[in-house]
Amino acid sequence: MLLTVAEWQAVRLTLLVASVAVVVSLPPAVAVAWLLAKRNFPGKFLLETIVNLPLVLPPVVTGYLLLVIFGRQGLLGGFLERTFGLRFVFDWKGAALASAVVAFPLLVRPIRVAFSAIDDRLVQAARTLGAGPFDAFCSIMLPLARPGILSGSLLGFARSMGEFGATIMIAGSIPGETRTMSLLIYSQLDAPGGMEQSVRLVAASIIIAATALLAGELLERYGRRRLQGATA
Amino acid sequence: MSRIIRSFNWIVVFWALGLCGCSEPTPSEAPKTAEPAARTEDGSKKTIILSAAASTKEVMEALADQFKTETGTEVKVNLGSSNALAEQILAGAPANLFLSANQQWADEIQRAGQVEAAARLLTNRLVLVVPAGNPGGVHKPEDLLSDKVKKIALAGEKVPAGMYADQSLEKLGLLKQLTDANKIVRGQDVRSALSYVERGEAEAGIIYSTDVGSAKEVTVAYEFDPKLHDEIVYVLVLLKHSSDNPEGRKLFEFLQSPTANTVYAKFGFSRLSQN
Repeated sequence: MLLTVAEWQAVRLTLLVASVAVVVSLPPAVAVAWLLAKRNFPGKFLLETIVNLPLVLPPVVTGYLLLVIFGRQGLLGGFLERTFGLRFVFDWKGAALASAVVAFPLLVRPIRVAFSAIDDRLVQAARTLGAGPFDAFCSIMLPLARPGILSGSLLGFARSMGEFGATIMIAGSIPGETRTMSLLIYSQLDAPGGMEQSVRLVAASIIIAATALLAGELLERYGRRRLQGATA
Repeated sequence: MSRIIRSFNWIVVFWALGLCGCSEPTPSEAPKTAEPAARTEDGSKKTIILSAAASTKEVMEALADQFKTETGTEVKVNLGSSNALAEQILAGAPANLFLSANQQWADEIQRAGQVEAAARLLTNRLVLVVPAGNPGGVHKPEDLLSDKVKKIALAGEKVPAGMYADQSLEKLGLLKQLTDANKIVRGQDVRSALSYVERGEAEAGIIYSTDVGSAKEVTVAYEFDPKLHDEIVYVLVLLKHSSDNPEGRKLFEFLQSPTANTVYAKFGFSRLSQN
């Protein structure tokens, strides 16, 4: 057995939380990225600032704000729990929420860059051929932005895996439910002898993160080569 | 030009990523850049560092103030869970005294040969607490099994308060069921567990009776029979590398003096006899 039961639990949980975080934030990220890339409107810089905020806020501040909103006594938390049975604090969904929030700017940025690189005339051509705006978006812009979307997803995934500050504040460190790899390593280090114990998990974290980044890099390059000529 | 802007974007992203990657503030990080053990020189500032278990926050801060008034020496109280503090000391943190909430972590320091003197100082009681309104309807430990109780806040498995709590739940035959039902939430130290109860995120928690005063609207539902857990012993340790600092020993003596006893009683701690 390479890892102990608790460690496998943490790895599985980390992968689950990171995947859910990316999948759930992808549609809003694509929408926001398109908005920022292709449209100008008053207050655009405000939207940009809000989107980028999780990148520069200390993660514990992000955690605090999430608690204020989604905690049981928070603005939305009590309501969500009573109405939908949706609980974030001390629940893996809270860990996924924290990861989604911190990964969001990393998702948006490459997708926005990909969208801005698409020649508007291609979309206009599709429209003259009878495609509705949504159809044109799905058949022209999305496929062309695929390398950016993939790269953003993998970057967001890797960041979600590493999220600690916000996660520990909103989700606590419950084995099997919210104790992700970062949290398990941290709690192991909290007692004498912990450094040796954590070596395996640390190695696993590095391997997963490096693989995600490498895959993102390769996919992006492959996608870019295929799309030569369609982008400006 | 757009290419420069685009790569500037990426530079900003990576720089911001780097900022985020900076160390998260860990609540019980020892003041690594603290002054070394003070020397008794004319006019120089004298400081000693006391690493104390989180549950002794108010009482140790009060005693530190009193010590400063009496002797002019400043005492920096470094709070945290006893296991984390022990880890810091073993890693070389410049503490002069260590107040551990159980014998085990004091023994760990002893095994590393860093103990100059030790004294059994205080004892405490373990209680089951609930948030305002008692939403889980908890009046005794067995009530923790009911469906109304979704989360129970305990201190970490290696934190003394958490260990005493685990022992009590084990003796009552509840620990396994509660663990299997994923009801247990671990706080970094006993005060963190208390804060979960205070915020209503946990329907119950197990902390020391002396901690109850620090949270609004948290009430005691049940007091555990001391026979259910190891004797709660707070051990005061004078660390070796402070033996060249007479102020450290003065504080060690002061914390065991009758003056200190009145302060302990005021905060709900009982003194232990020396064994």
